[in-house]
Amino acid sequence: MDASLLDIHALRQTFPRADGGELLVLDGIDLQLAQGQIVGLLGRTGSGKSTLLRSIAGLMPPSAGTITYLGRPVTAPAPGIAMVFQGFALFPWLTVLENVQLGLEALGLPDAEIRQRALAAIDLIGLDGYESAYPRELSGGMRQRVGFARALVVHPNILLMDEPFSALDVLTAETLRTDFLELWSEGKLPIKGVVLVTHNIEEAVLMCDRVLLFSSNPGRIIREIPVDLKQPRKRLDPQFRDLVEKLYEAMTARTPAPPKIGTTAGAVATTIDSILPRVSANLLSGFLETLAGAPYNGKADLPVIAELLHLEGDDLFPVSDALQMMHFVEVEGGDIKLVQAGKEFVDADTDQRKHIFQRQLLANVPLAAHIRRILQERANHVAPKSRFFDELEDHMSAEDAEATLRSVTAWARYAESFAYDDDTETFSLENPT
Amino acid sequence: MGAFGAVAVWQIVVFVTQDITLSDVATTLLLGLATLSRIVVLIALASIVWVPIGIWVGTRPHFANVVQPIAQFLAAFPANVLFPIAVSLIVAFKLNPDIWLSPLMILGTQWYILFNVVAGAIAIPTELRAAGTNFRVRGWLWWRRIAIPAVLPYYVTGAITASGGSWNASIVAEVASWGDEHLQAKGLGAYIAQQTDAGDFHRIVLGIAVMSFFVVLINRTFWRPLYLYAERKFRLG
Repeated sequence: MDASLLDIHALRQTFPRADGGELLVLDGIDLQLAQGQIVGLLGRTGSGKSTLLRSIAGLMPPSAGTITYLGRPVTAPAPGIAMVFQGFALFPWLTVLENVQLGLEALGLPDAEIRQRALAAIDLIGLDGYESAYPRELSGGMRQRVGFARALVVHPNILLMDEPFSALDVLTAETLRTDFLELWSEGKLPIKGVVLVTHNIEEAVLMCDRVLLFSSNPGRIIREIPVDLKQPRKRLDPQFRDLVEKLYEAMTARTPAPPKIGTTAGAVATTIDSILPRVSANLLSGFLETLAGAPYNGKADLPVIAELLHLEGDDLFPVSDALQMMHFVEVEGGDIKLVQAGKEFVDADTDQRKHIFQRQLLANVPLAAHIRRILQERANHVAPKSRFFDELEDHMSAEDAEATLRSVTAWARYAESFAYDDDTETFSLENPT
Repeated sequence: MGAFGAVAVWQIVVFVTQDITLSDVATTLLLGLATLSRIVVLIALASIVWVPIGIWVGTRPHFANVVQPIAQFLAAFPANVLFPIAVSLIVAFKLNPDIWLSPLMILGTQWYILFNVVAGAIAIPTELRAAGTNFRVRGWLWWRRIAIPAVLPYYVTGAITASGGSWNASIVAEVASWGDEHLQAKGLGAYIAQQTDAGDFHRIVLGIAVMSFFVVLINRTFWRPLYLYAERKFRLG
């Protein structure tokens, strides 16, 4: 019988909000990790996948529900669950060897064993010769190798990886992935299961046996997609491409908006309290032009255009979301298609583009229309940022509220709908006449 | 700048030597050593107390938000307002002023150590702290490998400020009065205070020159190298 290493049931995580309320980050999470599996958590920013990983690591006790590791509830860091961090998280004052030894010292092992095991891990992960180097002397790729060695040396049953390759350049990341998969497939790693957080669809297909797809705000598991391809996997293999396509499709599918007070459930109607994607107006117009031009002529496969524009999942989706939100494009079945307003925009000159953008913005992004209306109503046509910030913060985290205001400001500036002065933190209807 | 400094030093030498013997200089140097040893002991004691407390507070953000302004207020608080209480206690318990007047020197300056260490502990990146927690680094190992190295550059900054301030504070702290009670410790601060009372300009200048010499010497030979080392090895990021 294939015993579960990890069993998560009905997990819920909330963060306290500034106004004393709670922000729901993860809801109804069920997850089992079996021996010998790599499970991928795939989702956009704000889907709570990193929060889930931190919960498994015991860094965050569940608000509700249970996390069970080898039959015991996890509420504090458990021995046998080790983590690799996105930003490496190495101690700059410790050498490579000392960083790797730290977890063993914490276990209180004898010095000779600590040294011997640390050197073995360093050797395994390809860091031979760097034992006495400090992290600042190493490249990003070598630093993350230290991160891996430090996690593996404690012989964990479960390895947690929090976007471990996303801070590395493309080539280095690929080398590290391949090296890891090789060691894993050959059974040279002292681990029994892996949970990998990623926003990179290809990475998920390359590494995982099972991919769990997360929705955002709050994070819920919306799909589970098994990846049955044999290792080593080839990115150009048609089956690989099919899966990538399928995941793109699933990630851009219109899911019913989570029921929220004061909003109607249903299609992805944007409301005043919707979190807006962070993307510049320039990137939006550049994307529209690319989409309109040859060879796409108004319709493209998302993975294909993503690769062409060097946009990974987390960079692509904000663009496609924003364009879809303003009804410049339609996204369906992993394809992105220019619609009427998008065509008009591409054909127009600079001035007309601003008009079209303004029209689409005010018609489809309620927050922009709301800010403009308030400014028009006020005698001096000025309103402090805090007025809107507080309003947003009732529905989202301070961070998201900040990002949302930045996005709407950037778009409104381009459309010349209203202006914002960062020194005085005020919005105004700038009338430069 | 160098020429200006040389002229200033020469002026001081000329001015001071008009009325002063070598034995005066020897006396001030010895008194300086007495004050120095007080400061060394006091900074060490303050560090033992405030570094752990500062780290404890700084790694608990809610606490830090409360403690930080209090520490800054205490650093600005005129500590000599409290001297009369100390004097009456020393008199009442017949304590040795050479020892028991000393804590007054650091009363107002120790807070620099506290709030710098708090700031240092707050600045430890979340991911680094998570890594420590994840690998279950706890107890003395946590202090030794993570907390103390992380705050070291901040601590040194605080300690430099505290020790420099303590030299100045010695002028008011080594001599303290309350009503008819006058207490005095042997030290350079007391010397300067006495000469000021006596209006002996030559010896005031001598005392201040020797004090400045000590402060600069300690900074150059101890604090600065320590700071550069801490900055190079322990600075995050």
